Amino acid sequence: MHRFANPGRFLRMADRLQPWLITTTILAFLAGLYLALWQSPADYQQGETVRIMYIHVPAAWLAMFAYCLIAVASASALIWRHPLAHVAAEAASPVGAGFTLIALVSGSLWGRPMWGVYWVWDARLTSFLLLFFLYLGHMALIQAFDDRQRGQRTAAILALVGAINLPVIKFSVDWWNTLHQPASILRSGGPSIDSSMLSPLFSMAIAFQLFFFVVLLARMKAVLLEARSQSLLFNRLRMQAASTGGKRAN
Amino acid sequence: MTVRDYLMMGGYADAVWPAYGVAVLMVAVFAVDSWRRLRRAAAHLHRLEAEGAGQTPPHRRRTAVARSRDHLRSGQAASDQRTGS
Repeated sequence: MHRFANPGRFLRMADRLQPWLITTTILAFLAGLYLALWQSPADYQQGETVRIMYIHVPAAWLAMFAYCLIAVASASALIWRHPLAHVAAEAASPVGAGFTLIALVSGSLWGRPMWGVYWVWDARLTSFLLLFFLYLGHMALIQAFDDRQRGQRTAAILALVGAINLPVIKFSVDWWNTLHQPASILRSGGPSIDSSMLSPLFSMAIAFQLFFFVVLLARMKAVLLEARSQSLLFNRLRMQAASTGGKRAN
Repeated sequence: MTVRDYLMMGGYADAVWPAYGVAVLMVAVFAVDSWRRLRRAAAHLHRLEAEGAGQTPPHRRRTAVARSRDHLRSGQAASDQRTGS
């Protein structure tokens, strides 16, 4: 990873990767949407609402993946002072929040016809709502201090403390009696879903994941350029202050 | 099956389509916002550099992205020389 620790090298790699990533993402979305909205059958119990699962589950996976990435980046920023780690955490946070919102809203829309309610305070839903607030807190803390580095460090600590919520989300359906159904893909004994429904699910999951990397790279580049502008401005102000100070002394 | 039947989604149109709508909206917002933020950051950096060097900033924003990238690269080359790597 330290090969890419250098911002210049990272930008070169990102530039080479970006066109390929964008093309693959578009193709993956087209394939995913075709399978999810046309090719796959209706469920024998849920009817056509099963199609909501093809965005709800990939969005929820991505929301948790993005938080994992932020937690790992925060740890490497605090422990090894990896120069790109804070940048990655800052860039991933709003995207993770967005996908958490997709999972929450699509889940609610599915819940109304299937459970009879938009929302229940069961362990899975509540821990997932907490994930959304953790994302908001992380984004707010980065901006909360005049000293940017201080904000990044404080946000990194929040991200690490909040990582305890990830196993809670994953195992909430096993530890407590929840209205939310238990795991049907990542479980011992293999997936319990038919392959005609697994292929749209995985296609959309791949599309979401690729999209996340496209947006992450673009946002990381933007954060690096903004930081460069800030340091240029800071140096200029310091030089101005030094020269006016010198004139006064004369 | 007619287009109308398809759009009705077996009576669950009011659940399925808003769910996809939210997902598409969110994806579009992030794609556009990230692209705009990148272009703005690149243009801002280039403007600052141009002011510093007494040059006229370019009017084409695409070149601003490329130039700021070049700047970071040349900065890297300089730091490589300093560290002897």
